[in-house]
Amino acid sequence: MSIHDILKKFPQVIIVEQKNDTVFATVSREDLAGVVTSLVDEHKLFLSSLYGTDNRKENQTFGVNVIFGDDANHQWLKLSASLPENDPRYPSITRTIMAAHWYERYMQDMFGVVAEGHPDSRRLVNHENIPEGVHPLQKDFIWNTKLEKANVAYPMHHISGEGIFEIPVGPIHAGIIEPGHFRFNVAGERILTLEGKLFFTHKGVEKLMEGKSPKDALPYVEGISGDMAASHSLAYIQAIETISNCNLTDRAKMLRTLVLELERLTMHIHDLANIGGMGTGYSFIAANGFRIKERMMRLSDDIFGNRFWREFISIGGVARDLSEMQLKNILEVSKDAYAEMNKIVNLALASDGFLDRLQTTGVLPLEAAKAFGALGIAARGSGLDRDVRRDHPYAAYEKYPTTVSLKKKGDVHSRYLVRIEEMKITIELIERLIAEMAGGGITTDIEIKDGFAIGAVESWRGEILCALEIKNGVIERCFPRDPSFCNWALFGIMGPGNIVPDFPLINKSLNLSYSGTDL
Amino acid sequence: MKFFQLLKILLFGPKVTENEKAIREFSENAQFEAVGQELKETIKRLYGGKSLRIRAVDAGSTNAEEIEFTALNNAYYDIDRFGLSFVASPRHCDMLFVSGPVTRNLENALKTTYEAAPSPCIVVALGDGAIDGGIWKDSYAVVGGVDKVIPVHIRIPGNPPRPIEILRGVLGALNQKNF
Repeated sequence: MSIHDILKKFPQVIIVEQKNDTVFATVSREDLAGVVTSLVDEHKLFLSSLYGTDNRKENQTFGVNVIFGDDANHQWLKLSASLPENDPRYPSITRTIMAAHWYERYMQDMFGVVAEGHPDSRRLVNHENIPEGVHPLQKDFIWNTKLEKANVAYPMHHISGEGIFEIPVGPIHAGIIEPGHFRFNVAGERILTLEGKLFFTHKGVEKLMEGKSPKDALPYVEGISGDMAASHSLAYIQAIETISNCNLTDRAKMLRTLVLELERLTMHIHDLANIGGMGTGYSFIAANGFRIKERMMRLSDDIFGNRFWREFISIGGVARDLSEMQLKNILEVSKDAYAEMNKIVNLALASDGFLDRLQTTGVLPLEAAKAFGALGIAARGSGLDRDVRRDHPYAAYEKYPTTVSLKKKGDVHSRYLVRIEEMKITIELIERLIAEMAGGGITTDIEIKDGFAIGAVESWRGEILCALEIKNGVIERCFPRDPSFCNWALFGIMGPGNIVPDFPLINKSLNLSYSGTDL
Repeated sequence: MKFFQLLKILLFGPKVTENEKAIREFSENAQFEAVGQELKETIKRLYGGKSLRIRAVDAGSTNAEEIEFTALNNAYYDIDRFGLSFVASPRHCDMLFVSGPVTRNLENALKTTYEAAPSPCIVVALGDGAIDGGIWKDSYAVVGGVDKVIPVHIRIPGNPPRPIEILRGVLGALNQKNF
């Protein structure tokens, strides 16, 4: 059933228009939560993103926008509700749809919009030091405001009882990883509850992008999360190109797909080494895996002049052409890297001690994955069959469809196996792309228009959804939703029942970006 | 038979480590903002120029810097052979690697980490963000470069600096043959 057919059943929803693959609809704030619940529960649409807008200048309202993915029909639905500026409240969606919980808290901090009846309406992105009443994404908040230091409470959950201890960890961790704070409540070694406090690296990406021309904002997009620069820039650029009705050349599409898959291969090798080596202490896997990954990073350096596959995808195509020699070099290095890594992980999987650590650790049940809106490896490891490359094909994925690798058990082992299979699918795709690389130009002239579009990309971590609105040639609002934003809350489900020393392993099995979540 | 495969890779696997001499010689010529003479002498006196322990602190980076820090441990760079190694606690460290920009939410954590480290503690600001805030400069959520919060001795620019640049920067600034 298409989105139009579904919406016919809701007389309270007004369909505004359809542009490209997105249906725009509006609903009153009173009906919002009910309609969203029914769309997710009965009509099986996925709540893919939720964000606020400040429209006070145009019509004295704040906007609440919910984006749904209709995977079967390759479409998106943007359902918006308006809240009057003097009373920006609406009944909370989280009461019935768990996947909305962080989005609503985020919106509450950033816009001052209140989700009434939210089961957990504490602060999220604003830490203790941000004064009350500061909402950075309101249009009248100046981007370089020097805020006063405050000390507002930011309470965390804890349980009490005989023999229950609380272990605080972070924000500065023992390993070389990004900052975040975790609170374990434990009885002995067993985790009872686990809660994270993130947004330590909040740099104000969204605010900094506002008012900039789409081209000038690109460095910020590449800086959302350093290890997925290519994926984030592609999602953002796709949104620009959809707004401007730009048709790419075949060669540009294929080169973009190639670089995305190279990024995936590099980071899957990293994760397999990191989970296998650093997570379990089988250092042979880490030593060899990181050596192999270094070769991929050097390949990127040789070709693009940086080690992170970035500064290649550009608005209207790609920044430079790759010669036959370079393509041959890419194929050779990545094939070798795959073959060698495959050998290493097979050795790991033959070790009983290794499997013992991975199996039944950090189980994420399918029901929880669905309820929390899990994405990427976390979703596919639990049997949730979603992949943007198939469900909303972009770049060259329509012509070169990928198989989706699925595992059902939802433990660290399943996620390990998903990565191994995806690595194989990726290298096969790289081979095909290079063998069948189209000739011709790499850029298309593009005149950037005003409008709204969604750019979606399946990064190696999962689905990136970039909601972009351009007005008068500059960015009016951009919400680049990193897959980590949806996956962090999964730890509350995966952690309890495991022992504390397994947490680093579970953490590595998801390898979420702090910087991408914190924006 | 997996055991024999394991042995085979361990014993006959590729040797990829970068030539140590080349890195050292390059570092001696390199122009980096050096640590003050006084600090240099203290290091020599305290640690005999044999080894330095590093604590990495992410004060708000995009995580690219952290990937490069991790890379310093791989077989290509093998930071341990220079007497440098990463430790798990600031209480064990002689040197802080700080990547930034320093965000408001991490200002306190960075200060506390510096205070927890035994003095003298050499602070290295790694990457454009850590040096002056980079593209994030003046944002409401960012304090600025690392030197806005704690004293900085060595600055290594880059977005992010490559592992080899980090090595050369640190070795060059310390300018100690024995490191």
